[in-house]
Amino acid sequence: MAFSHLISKITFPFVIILILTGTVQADQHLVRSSEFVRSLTQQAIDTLTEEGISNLVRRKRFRNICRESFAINGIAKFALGRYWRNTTENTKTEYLSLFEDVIVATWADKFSLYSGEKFEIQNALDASIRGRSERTAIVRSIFYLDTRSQIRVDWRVSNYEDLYKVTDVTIQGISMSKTTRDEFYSVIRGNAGDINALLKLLREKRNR
Amino acid sequence: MSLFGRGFSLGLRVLLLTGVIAILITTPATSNSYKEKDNRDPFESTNRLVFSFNVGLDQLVLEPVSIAYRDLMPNELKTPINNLLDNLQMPLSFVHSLLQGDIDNANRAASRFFASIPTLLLGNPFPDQNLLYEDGGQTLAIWFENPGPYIMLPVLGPSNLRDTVGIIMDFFIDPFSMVASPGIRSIRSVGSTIRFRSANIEQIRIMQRDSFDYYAAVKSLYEQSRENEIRNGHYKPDSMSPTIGLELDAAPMLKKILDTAIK
Repeated sequence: MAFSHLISKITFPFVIILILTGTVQADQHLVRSSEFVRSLTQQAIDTLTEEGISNLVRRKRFRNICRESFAINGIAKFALGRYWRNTTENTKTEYLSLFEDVIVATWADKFSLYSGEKFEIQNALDASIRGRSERTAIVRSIFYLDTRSQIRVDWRVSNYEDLYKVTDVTIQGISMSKTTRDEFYSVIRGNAGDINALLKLLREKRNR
Repeated sequence: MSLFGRGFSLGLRVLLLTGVIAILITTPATSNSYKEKDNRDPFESTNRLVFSFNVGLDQLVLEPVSIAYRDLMPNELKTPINNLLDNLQMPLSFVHSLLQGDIDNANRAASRFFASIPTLLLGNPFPDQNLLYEDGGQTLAIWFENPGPYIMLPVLGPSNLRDTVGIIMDFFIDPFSMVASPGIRSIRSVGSTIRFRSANIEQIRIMQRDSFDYYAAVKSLYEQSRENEIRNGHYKPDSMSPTIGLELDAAPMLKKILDTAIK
């Protein structure tokens, strides 16, 4: 009895230290993820909404941001879902390249519509998945359109050591990755499971 | 919320719903031309037909009217119209907030409705208040987690079995419907529809232009936005894509480590 009491007395401070260290690490991970989103948003606003730049320049800058800060290949793989496994390496390579081109072509031009909306990060939640090396945070933010209306934008940020990347974005609860996957699935299903139908559409959109 | 806004004439809705349910029951699910089925959408062929009809109707009638409303209606009049449409939604929101046990929101809905009476419901007494709009489908979601099959309703737009039952339920329990004449109810419904459409003219055009499958895009947006409304905007882990990792986007050295860790 006395011995176990002694043991618990000795181990108790260590347990507290371990818990506190864990909490601090978790907080650091959330703080850094929030800072990453803040900096990414500011960078996008500064570089993509600059007055007088052409759509070509805007697309080039957006592509750089995509490669640096978004898990664009991971998102592309998710969008293909179960069809990814049965796809040849050559087709995967072409698909990843087309996916990036179409994302850039579709999203970059939308930044020309930005008109100075205010942006605020509200909080961050830990969403790490047990058994995975990377840690994940959900950073919750608000874009104020005017004094009465606002849009909630949530960022799923994964990190491993110093690498931080956005793995999904939801706008008013609508996940961009899930919506893309639902559309891709529908196109492939409508063509008897043939991924080439999707590739054809991606090529058309890229060349438009 | 339907593609064409909150509400139409509730009587017309119920009539349309009866017709749609009859069509769905008599249409065999196997008539779907898609070889791989989407379990959430067993009536896909019929739904796609109705969707084509809705898109045509939208382009012929609703979009031109909404553009005219956006461009010709003075902003000074739009604000009181918006307030009126929102205030008329409060009695139903109050009832459903109570049914969901959300006393705070019920209190906010009731306060807003009664405080706007002196302005003939044209004012917004609490402009900074973040109100939740509750309806029958959201209340039913408390007891029925599964929304049932996806249904594309003629004129009214995307829905599912649970939300369709919710629309019928609202026909009977909406306090506004109990006191207003069918004409007034229709004005509220048409007004809400035009307001919603006029606020989303560019967004819908972009969506039509950029989507890979417009039908699938609308279905996905509807399902996700309804889930978001049901959980009142709170975060839920599976509302984002939990399986996207960094293994394909890391530098080669890191990629090896992540690949090994995942295996």
